[in-house]
Amino acid sequence: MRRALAITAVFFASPLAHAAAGAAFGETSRVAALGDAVTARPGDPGTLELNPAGLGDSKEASFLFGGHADYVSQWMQRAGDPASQDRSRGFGGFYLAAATPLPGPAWARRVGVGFALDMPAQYLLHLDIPVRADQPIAPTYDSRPDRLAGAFALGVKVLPRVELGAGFAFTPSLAEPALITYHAGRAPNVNGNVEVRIDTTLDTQVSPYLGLRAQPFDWLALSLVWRDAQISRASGQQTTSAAGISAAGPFNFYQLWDPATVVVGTAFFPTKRVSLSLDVAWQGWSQFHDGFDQPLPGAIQFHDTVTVSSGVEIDLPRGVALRGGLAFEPSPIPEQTGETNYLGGNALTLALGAGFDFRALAKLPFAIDAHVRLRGEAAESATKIASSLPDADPQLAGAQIDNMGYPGFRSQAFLMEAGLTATIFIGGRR
Amino acid sequence: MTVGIACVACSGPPKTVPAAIVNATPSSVCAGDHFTTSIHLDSSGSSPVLTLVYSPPDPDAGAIHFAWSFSGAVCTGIAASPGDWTTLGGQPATSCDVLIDPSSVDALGQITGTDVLLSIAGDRPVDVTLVVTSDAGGTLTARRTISITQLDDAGACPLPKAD
Repeated sequence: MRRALAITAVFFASPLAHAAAGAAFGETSRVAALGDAVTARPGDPGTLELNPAGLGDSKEASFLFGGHADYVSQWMQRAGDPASQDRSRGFGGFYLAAATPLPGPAWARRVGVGFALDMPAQYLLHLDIPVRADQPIAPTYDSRPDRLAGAFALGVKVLPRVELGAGFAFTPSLAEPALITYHAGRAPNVNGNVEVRIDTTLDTQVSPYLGLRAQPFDWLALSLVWRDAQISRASGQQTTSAAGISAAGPFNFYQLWDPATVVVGTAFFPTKRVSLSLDVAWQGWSQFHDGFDQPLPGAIQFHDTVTVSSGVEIDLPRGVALRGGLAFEPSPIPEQTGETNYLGGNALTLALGAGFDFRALAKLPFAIDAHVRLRGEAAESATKIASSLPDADPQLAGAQIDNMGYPGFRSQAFLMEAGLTATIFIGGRR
Repeated sequence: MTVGIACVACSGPPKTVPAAIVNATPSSVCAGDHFTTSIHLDSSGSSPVLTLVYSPPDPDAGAIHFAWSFSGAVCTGIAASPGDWTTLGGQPATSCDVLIDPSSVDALGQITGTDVLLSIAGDRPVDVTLVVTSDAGGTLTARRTISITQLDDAGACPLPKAD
């Protein structure tokens, strides 16, 4: 019966992927290959942001680091245009994470702590705020991979088969007040009379997360995780002062990295060598705000999604593991009939990976994991409703349309990713 | 607008950025214009140096160069009479979204002047992109959209007639 359950369990993969500390598309190779469906599995440093409770199951101190390289092929084509606009780009990132059970007596060893840090390859923080509301934006790909993220977590084995965990994810925000003044006669060239003072500080936004993991039977584990939304801002007051004129205006740019999420997970262990896991995640995309921190109007408001992800892991002799996953992730973006042109369709993800544990291979305390991941989106199409579009020039008679997506458009994206993780085990099993 | 903190080192002082200015007259045509209205794009207000406050052109600032591009299918041609014309390539204009006046196109087929005359099909807005490059190597891109004016309830164009 247990085997039948396991074999018939559908396995899907990564919804909106998290790195070790929460940045998009930068999970450890093991997590990526398992489709992020790891909340009910025993924890490791790479899963502390996905379910901190797993740290309560830490058997030994370990440290991991790795990286990933991604390429997004994305196009958008306006209806009737002879060619599409190519929005393809590459990105990548690095991460490190460490976790350990506390030393000391038995009760202390029930507590595991860990931290993780994600470092994008190009930007520490990238907020892309379009000047025009109708500029095409892909919320999944445009900025999400480009941010520094950190996470700290603690997990406790409160009962022999029950673990609780809590943590904080850190996301940078930018405070950038600017003062622009004009001092006539200071320089021979008028441009030299302009003085710009920018006082920039990089603050952190803290997002809590909680997790529960229970394994009532050797063959079954369950999990429940809540993560708060992760947001960055770039804000400040820009003051322009020239002679007797002084103009001050606040700016508040906003980027939602991940909405509030609730995950229910399960893992099956039908044999000692085979495990399957299934996570179902609700994500509160209806709280999405535009780049100026304004909620989207009702008709074009994003809707909450339920994603399903799962993975399978097969442990072979001599420390070799094979992993795989398959996924479906519905798009939160409604049909773009109005002013905005958000890009993103329902996505299907396939992930494959392998792991080599050199403790079993050569009694060396480290492991290497690798993965590849393909994420394909269904083509998104939209037909604009002219009456839903704003008048581009109220000074002119009639209603003007200048929307970049008018009269309609199609778009599609495909992500290819490869990554590698090295794990070093320190101090042996406790 | 992009706010980014890049982890790359600066490789030198930033190049002087030119100013790129595009004026379109008219800025909108009615839906279904079918290349009837001649649109004038004027970038003569551009300059080699981006200035916060207007200052006279610096004679030593060097020249600036223009590169225009347009969304949609771009053809070159002019109507012999309304509804009776063919593009320079012998292509019927019904397959074009933008029709560039031959006087705005150089010998290599590029659109590099300060002024451009064009007409559009009028079934969708046309995005105009102007890249201005200075002799100092600085570039700036200006974008402007020629909008479509919806016909009124009687099916008439609400825009005033051109002179």
